[in-house]
Amino acid sequence: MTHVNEEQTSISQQAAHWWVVLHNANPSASEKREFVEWVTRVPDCVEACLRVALVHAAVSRAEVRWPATSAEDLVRDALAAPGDSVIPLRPHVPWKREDKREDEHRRPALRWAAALAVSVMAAASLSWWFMLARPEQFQTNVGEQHSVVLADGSRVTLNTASKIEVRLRAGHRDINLLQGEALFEVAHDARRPFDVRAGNVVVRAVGTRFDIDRRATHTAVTVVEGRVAMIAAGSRTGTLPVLSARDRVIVDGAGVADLEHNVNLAETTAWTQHQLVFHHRPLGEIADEFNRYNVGRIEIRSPSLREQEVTGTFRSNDVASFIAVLAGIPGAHVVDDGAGSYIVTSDGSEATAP
Amino acid sequence: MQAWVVGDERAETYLRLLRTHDLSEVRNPQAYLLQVAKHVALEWCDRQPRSDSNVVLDDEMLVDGQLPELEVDALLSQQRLETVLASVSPMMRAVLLLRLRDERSYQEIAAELRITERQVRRYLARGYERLRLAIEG
Repeated sequence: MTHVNEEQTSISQQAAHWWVVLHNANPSASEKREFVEWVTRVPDCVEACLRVALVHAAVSRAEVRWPATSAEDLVRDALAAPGDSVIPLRPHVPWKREDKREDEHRRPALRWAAALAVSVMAAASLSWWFMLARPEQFQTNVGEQHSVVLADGSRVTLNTASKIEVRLRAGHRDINLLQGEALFEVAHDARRPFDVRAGNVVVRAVGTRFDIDRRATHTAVTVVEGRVAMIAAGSRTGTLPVLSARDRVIVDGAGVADLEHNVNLAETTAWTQHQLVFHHRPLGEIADEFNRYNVGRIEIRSPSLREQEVTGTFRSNDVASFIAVLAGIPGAHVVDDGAGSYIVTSDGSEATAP
Repeated sequence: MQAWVVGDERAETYLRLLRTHDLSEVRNPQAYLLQVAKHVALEWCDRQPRSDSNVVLDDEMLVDGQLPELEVDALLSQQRLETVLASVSPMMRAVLLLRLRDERSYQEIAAELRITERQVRRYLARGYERLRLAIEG
């Protein structure tokens, strides 16, 4: 019910109300709390506040010429004006519920209708609640990729072995990345922040494109377009950054964040084209990447080989090309187990082929 | 005239507010919001290609409400202010002038006009809304 009411009072009216309340001599702690709760709900509230501030600035300029009417005359005119001092004050401020109750007492004929409406709405919202309480889940198996368009128009592309939970609410869009990696293309809706939780990281977007890659030891958030705010991360991160396009934050299990700028976006989103792009990456890491996408395993047993860096682009399901690269390295030996898995050793390495 | 804050900057301001952990602990959250917006606006101006003819905004200009846009619009907003004051009820005009011109407290205004402080706040909030609609044209 409160929500319906709030929509009826425009955000700019609410902003003007807050301006006036907080410009009082001593706003109370609860007023400040309510204001903060209100202003952080959606960007529109911030905009409305700034507009009121500009109006205030415009009428506070020294050059403003005010009417010369004396204060006494103003007061006399106001008190003399018929009926004006008893303007019916409709519930202007939504969170003052007593106004509504007064109305009900004054018009008992409306009570039954109101009660009926309330119970219908309660039933409706109850079923809504049950619907929302059961989030939608989407997941992919190893080697699969899948795109879903959510009811709000946002698109989520799931990478291999990934799983998300989606809850779309009236004032919020909540996504939980339970495992794996996903690219989010968020439909712009300033009134419904889009929050993605991935373990100890929560990021908020309004309308943007970003990738979250959740691994066992860390979570990487990369912004492709627009901006997102990190609104929660583990305990040890100090200030949480606002990320712009080409920024990446890697948060480890202890909540320590590491910020990188000018990330190569083509590499970050290459997976959506079923590509793996590597720029001077160690072979061990590349093998691990192939292992994310394929049931068969590539195991490089030689530490020196694991550290050797290469640059290249592969299709994520094309293990054979990568194996060909490995086999072409002088001194490397590849053993195929015949079931899609490979063990790679090198001359002088500690392990021998089984 | 609000171009400097109401474009992408509002989203940026919003996002920055979100990362302030205990915003309600800030002594004056609204002033804090304006501060953040101002920083965003300044950074935003920094990003614009500058030429000699461009006015460079600095902190003081914004603090005093002396935005160049406001200067340009001063004449226009003066006219609009007069129109609004002429069109509102005597009660609202009294509240607006006693507050904005004479800088009286809500309590004093309420006593003078024999209304409650809450009514004073409502008149004032509606007055701001009228002014905004008029000034934004």
